[in-house]
Amino acid sequence: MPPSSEDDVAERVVVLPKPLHARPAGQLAQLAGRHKEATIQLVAGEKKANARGVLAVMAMGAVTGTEVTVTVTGPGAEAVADEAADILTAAEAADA
Amino acid sequence: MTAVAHRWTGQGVAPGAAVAGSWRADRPVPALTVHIGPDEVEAAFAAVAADLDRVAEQVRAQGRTAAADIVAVGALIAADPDLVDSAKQAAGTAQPLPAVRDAVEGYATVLDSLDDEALRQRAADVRQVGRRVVERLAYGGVGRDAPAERFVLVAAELGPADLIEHLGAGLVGAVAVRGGANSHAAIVARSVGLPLVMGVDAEVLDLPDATDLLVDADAGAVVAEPSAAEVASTEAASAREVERRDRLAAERGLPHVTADDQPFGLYANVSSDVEVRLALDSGAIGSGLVRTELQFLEADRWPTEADHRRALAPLLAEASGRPVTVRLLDFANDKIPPFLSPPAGLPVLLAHPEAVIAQVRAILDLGRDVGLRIMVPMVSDPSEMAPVRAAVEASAANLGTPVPPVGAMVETVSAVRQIDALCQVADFVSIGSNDLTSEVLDLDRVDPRARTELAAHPRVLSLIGKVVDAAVAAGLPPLTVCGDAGSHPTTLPLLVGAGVRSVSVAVARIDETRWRLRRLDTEQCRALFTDALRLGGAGDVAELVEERIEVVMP
Repeated sequence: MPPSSEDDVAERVVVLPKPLHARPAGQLAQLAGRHKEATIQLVAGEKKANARGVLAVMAMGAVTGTEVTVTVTGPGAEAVADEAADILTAAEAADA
Repeated sequence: MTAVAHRWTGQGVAPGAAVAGSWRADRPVPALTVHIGPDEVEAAFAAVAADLDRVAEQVRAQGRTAAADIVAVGALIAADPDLVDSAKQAAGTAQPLPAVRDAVEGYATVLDSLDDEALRQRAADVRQVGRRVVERLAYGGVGRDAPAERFVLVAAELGPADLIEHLGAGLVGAVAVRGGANSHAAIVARSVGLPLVMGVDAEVLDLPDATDLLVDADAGAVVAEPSAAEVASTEAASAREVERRDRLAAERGLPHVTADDQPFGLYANVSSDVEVRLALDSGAIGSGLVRTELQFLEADRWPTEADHRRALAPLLAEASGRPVTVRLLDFANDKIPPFLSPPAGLPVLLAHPEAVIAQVRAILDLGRDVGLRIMVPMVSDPSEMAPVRAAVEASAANLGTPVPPVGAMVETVSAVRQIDALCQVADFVSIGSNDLTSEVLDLDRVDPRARTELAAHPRVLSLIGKVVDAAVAAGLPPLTVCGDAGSHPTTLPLLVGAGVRSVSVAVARIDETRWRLRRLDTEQCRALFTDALRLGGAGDVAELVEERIEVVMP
């Protein structure tokens, strides 16, 4: 991989259309698992979580309407950030 | 060996009976002094995650998607790197097993403290994962697998996943010390036909595994080391019941049409996301009645919008894409919270417009993805519809949502008397058969279980017929009967005869109701209904139904 990609950073800000429950949290954890070289950090107000941990993400207790900032650091950051944002905003039917 | 039967009583929360060797799900692990290293902890978590993944896939392959999703969450939790890391650190202490358990409990406590009901429920999943990990460590990394043969599950407390993971395996019945009829485990048990008795003395936890245990949920009894005669009769009954349920369930997915090709609607009465999942798995189209008051029966004030959101969010998310009729708070009869005094009911709700708006806003905002309708309970006068409609229209404008149909639940004699006027101001009507029957026949002091059959009383039937005719004359959509009458062998043909083409029934009754409806002939039911109106009482009508209608059940 090109050396410059290690420093890739991408940020997305989304407003949750549904609470951040187990299903989207699980999808984020799986995304993080597929991109182990990248770090996916979520921030909602004072709560922060690394997306690799489903419990940390659920413990943010993010409800509908919460603004969540996704910051991805590492190779392929832009694409991973898009995918993370899609999971968070496609959370319409998501619940578990 | 001398068989000394030990008997306990409890609350049968899911009907049926079964007998098999006992297996305690949550047996306390022995105190260990052996060394447990971080690698063993990591391996135990990985094994538990793999176990749960495997169970989820098995359940999914059986077509029980909703149940599979519940179990899959457990697998994700067991794979959580933060959880595994803190448990690994705990393993280095002098008392590794309690330390690992405490580490897991820390995560459960965090979820417990959240406002969101659905997230709080995940705390139980975290604890279940922790229990499995600790058991694996305690028993040398092999886990405590459930018996391969038939067994009765025994536990202090049961979660839905405890039952789901053993379904289709050897699980034939369950016993719990704590819990009640509204627990998720009870709902799951009813929907899958698993006999379950709760509220049993804690002595039952001390039984050694593989003790012969008879669970008779119909009698609310648990018997250890039952007599051979008891075992034989229970086993025969249980085998028949399993076969019956399988045959009923085999018609899921078949067209919803009567014997003479008239389409019918089949919906479920629900009050939780778990019930929605199970209802959809059973082939219900959606929910004809979402009961919203059950979570607030201990409330000390009117629920706020946030309270309603917490209660409704998981349920409405689960019902995404489906038709859902949400009933406003029905604090009446036996469902009156401490902050209200009888008779409460709709007048008291309408006297608190802010309470109506709080609930309507939550319903509209969270109900964007469902085919939403809002239903007003216990309507006794057409004038009661206007304030609700005004609240719905104002809130919808405010939130930018469409205005859903606003309808009336017809369950008082007064509403039936004014049914034509009511149909002019309601977008749909549904019939609440239980309350209507008890008012018509003055059954307040009668055992509630008797009410369903009494809906066959000619005085009740004539009122139901009147409501159906009025709804048709007013051009309203087909009305739904929400109540036990919709799933009862005597009353269902009569409802069809009255012109009812849509019922909303308890989740556990969906398969059976579909079976019956697919075998009824609407013309024959019509003639039955007409003749039944001329009879004197519910008993005479029941005899007539038995004589005329033969639906062969499996």
